[in-house]
Amino acid sequence: MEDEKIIELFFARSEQAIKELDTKYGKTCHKLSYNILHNDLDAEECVNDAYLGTWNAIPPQRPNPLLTFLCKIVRNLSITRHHANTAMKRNSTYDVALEEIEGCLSSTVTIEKELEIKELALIIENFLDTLSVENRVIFMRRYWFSDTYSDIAQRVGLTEKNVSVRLTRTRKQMREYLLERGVLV
Amino acid sequence: MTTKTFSQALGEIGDKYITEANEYVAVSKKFRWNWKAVAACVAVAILFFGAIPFLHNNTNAPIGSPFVLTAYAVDVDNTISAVEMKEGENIPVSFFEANNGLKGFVFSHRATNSQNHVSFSIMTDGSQATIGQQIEAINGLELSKDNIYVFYIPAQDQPSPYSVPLTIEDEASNSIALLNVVVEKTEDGYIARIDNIAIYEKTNEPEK
Repeated sequence: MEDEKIIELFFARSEQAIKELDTKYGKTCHKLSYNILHNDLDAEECVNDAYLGTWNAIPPQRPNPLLTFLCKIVRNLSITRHHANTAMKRNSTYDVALEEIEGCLSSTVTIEKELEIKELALIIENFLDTLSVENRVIFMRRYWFSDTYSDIAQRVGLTEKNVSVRLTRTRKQMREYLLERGVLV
Repeated sequence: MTTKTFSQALGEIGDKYITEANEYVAVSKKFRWNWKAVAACVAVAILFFGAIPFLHNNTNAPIGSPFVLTAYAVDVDNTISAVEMKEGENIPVSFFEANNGLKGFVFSHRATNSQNHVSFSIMTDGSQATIGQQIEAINGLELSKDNIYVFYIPAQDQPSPYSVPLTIEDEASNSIALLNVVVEKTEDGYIARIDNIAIYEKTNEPEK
């Protein structure tokens, strides 16, 4: 079913909207949540909570594209759940992906407290704009969607090794970019 | 900066980046290297040009890396630019018209051996063209016998980006480079970039 029709179902307050949403985007959402939580049950709960969030948001919102809207909710809920699960072993793809990028972010002196998250987001956006489409997609799939190298390689039609090399280069570029702008000192 | 801060900031970036990552379809997926196809392509190229430039020794071989690919464009002041391409870099390219009326993008690489004539490889829709039309000149370009020119004609019904698979041989190092050039239409015209390059040692053993 097309996104517009699903949104119309939401506007009509039809529960069929949730079913159609799950049919169309359920797997994608579950994968995204699972990458962060590494737990099927938690992921399923987060996805269901995201559906509820979508139900509450539409109307009045009419998101376009619907998948991006949904993914953002799933990611936010999953990360919140992840931080709440303090006892959980740090072994999800989300953890691994963040540990990977930690090296290019860490600094003995940090000023992030002075830097608004939104301002940092803008700098990251500007950095993403300097990348080629392919490298940007690889970066986003790894650090926003927490995809594995294997998943990314399959998506972009490259080898895992190539994806790994590109990510290493991009992280290095990002570190230099952040250093130049005083985000890292 | 902590990874948590970074993750939070990443969560705040614009929807367009998420949508792009969700909707991205790999250009290179349209093209998979098939060794039999590559071998056939090289064989056709040899027959097409009526010469076997890289299968015999020639002490007058041109100097320079044969794996350098050059892209051609017409600048705003109508001058011609020839820029050496590097992997991942976007280079402006333009349509050129050949003497027989064909229109396409032009790339060139060094011939591995000196030739008595200018060589052209006409490609369309990602494969060796079978249109049976030879090119002798391209309007606006000074052609060199030391180069092999690739004349890529996009299919009329195919929207950009276009994928152009190229094969360049180097007799000296007994190696072969497989490149995938992507040509995209932008607001400012067309750009081309080498999306993928792989260099292999040539072997006489059949591919398993």
